[in-house]
Amino acid sequence: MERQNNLSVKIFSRVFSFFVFLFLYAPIVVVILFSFNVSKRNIVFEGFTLKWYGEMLNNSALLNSFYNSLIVAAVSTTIAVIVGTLAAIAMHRYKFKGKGIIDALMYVPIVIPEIVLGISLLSSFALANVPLGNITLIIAHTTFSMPFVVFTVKARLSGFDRSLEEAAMDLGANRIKVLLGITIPIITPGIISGAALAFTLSIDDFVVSFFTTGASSVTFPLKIMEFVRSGIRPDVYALSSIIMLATFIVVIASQVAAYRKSKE
Amino acid sequence: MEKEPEPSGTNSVIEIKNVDKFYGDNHIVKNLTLSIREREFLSILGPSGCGKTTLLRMLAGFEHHTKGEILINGESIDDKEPFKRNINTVFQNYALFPHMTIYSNIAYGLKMKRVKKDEIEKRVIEVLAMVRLEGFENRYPSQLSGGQKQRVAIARAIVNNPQVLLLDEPLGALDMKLRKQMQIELKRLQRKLGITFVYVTHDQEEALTMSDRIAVMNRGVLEQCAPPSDIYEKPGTKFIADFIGESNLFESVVEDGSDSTDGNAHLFSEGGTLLGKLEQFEENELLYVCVRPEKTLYSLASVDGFSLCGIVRENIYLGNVIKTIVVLTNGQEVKINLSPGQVPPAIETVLYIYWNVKDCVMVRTISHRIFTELEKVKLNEYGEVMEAEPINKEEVKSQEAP
Repeated sequence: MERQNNLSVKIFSRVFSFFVFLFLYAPIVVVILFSFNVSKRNIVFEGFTLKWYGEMLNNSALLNSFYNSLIVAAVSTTIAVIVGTLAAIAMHRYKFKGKGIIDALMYVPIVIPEIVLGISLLSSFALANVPLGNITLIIAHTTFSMPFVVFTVKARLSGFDRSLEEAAMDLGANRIKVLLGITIPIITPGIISGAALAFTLSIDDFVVSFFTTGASSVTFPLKIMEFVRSGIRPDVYALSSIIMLATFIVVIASQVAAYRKSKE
Repeated sequence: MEKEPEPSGTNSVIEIKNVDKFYGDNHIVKNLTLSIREREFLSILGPSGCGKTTLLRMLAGFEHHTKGEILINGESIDDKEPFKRNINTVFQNYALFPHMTIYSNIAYGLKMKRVKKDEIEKRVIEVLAMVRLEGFENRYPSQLSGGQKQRVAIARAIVNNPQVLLLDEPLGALDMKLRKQMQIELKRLQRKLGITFVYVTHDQEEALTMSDRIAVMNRGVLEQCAPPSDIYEKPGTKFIADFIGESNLFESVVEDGSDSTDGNAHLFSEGGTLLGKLEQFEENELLYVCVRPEKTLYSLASVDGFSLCGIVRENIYLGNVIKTIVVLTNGQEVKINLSPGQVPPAIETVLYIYWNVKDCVMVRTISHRIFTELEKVKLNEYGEVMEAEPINKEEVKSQEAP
């Protein structure tokens, strides 16, 4: 009886897991599959081809939008990491008036609906008379990604032993050297995961970007939305597949690195 | 409190003068004066929360004193940041840099001082040998045991040739056996290096074994600073008599019109009369007579001057010593240590406690100082204040030994 029970539990858990993974990965597999499809219409698979990968390389509008996304993501991530890390250190270390309020305000960009954030940024830029373009995009992306950096770095700092800094000072390091040589290296994992989050959020952001960009700068998600109206062509799938592959490699590499470090 | 004797012959490295430290309203260190000498092993001993770690952190530069003066080599340290002091610290939790190898950890201080690379290498190798960790250069702190981490922490400090080494309960996290071993090694290292060690601990045994002098702190007050034998044999206050080793304390007052022709002070306590040394005590003053269990004697007949009568409650055999517990008529327990050869008195025997006057020490509570500094203080026979100038009650309370 018990055995039978065990067996049915086993079967159920297998089936359950199968559906979870199916839901997660089937769409991704479809994209990769159709990037090799001969047919331009994504309804039936008619045969294998690599021509969309070639076409993608000739689709300068698509590639330019992707490059632009990379630039916006890189710049906004850099700013968010620098400002966010320093803010996290300051908020962890010092007691000052209004610290609790600032702490709470940090959550606002995370919890308010993106559409509200987009509209408010747009009206702010309009009020300040800032022409919409890459600059406004970078400002907007920094706004919503910085809190994530603050939180990941703060989480790392909460396990940080203050006496390490005191020990470094005791050994003759001034405050700058303590920050660069002791504090930053130890909280680096937090900074890296914050940066990764910020970069990902920036690369695939659509809603905020939609409101805060001008005609001069188009990001990858915006371009794809443009294509959707006229029907997505498989070269978009091709680029998406390449991005996915790149992400996959980065994730695997970081996992391997983390595993090696933990084994050390 | 005994005044710290002026260092004669040996120069002092650190002078702490009338230092006070407040955290908000908390008075952590109270009017502390102490001079730390060259090449000495000074322990700062006290129960947790007595201000000893705060004192150490003020010397290292992590905390600033609120009032008073701290001089290192005659120079005020007020404006000296921790990284500008020729003092190094061994932290309680070791504080090794987890992202650096043992070599880099130890080389860190020298690197900050811009010592040449080959010189750094030479000194790191040398100091590793000194703490018996040859071959550990390329390991990371997480790969070491507690005792090994402790040695690295010590090596990282002494490689800089500091004038003073501060140690904040460095052996607290180690097990008993390793601790004993490290105590001996630390003492050996201190002699070899010839630098001043300021060692913070709450373990009296540790302090007694290693120190040249022990500074005992209680509730922010430095109660006594003296060599270990003096601390044990001539405790300066009631707190120290109680805190260091075992002792029998008799709360007593000098008897009215006490006849001092025999050279002894005739005292009166709840348990009966007793004899003490004739010292600078006033009539009716409250004091404590401290007698160590090994110096406490008993007799079946009463002894001249003593009338401490009690009954034997227990004999405890401890191998190297037999402890006899006697309960006096007022309920106070008196401990007597007998050597194993002696036959202990039978349980329920009625006997009299006495001692040789030279073996007892008479101490006051620290609050005595406050009383004597006040004019027109009158104490009743139990040492209670009968009339006095209005004094700050809080202060008396906080300085009273438990």
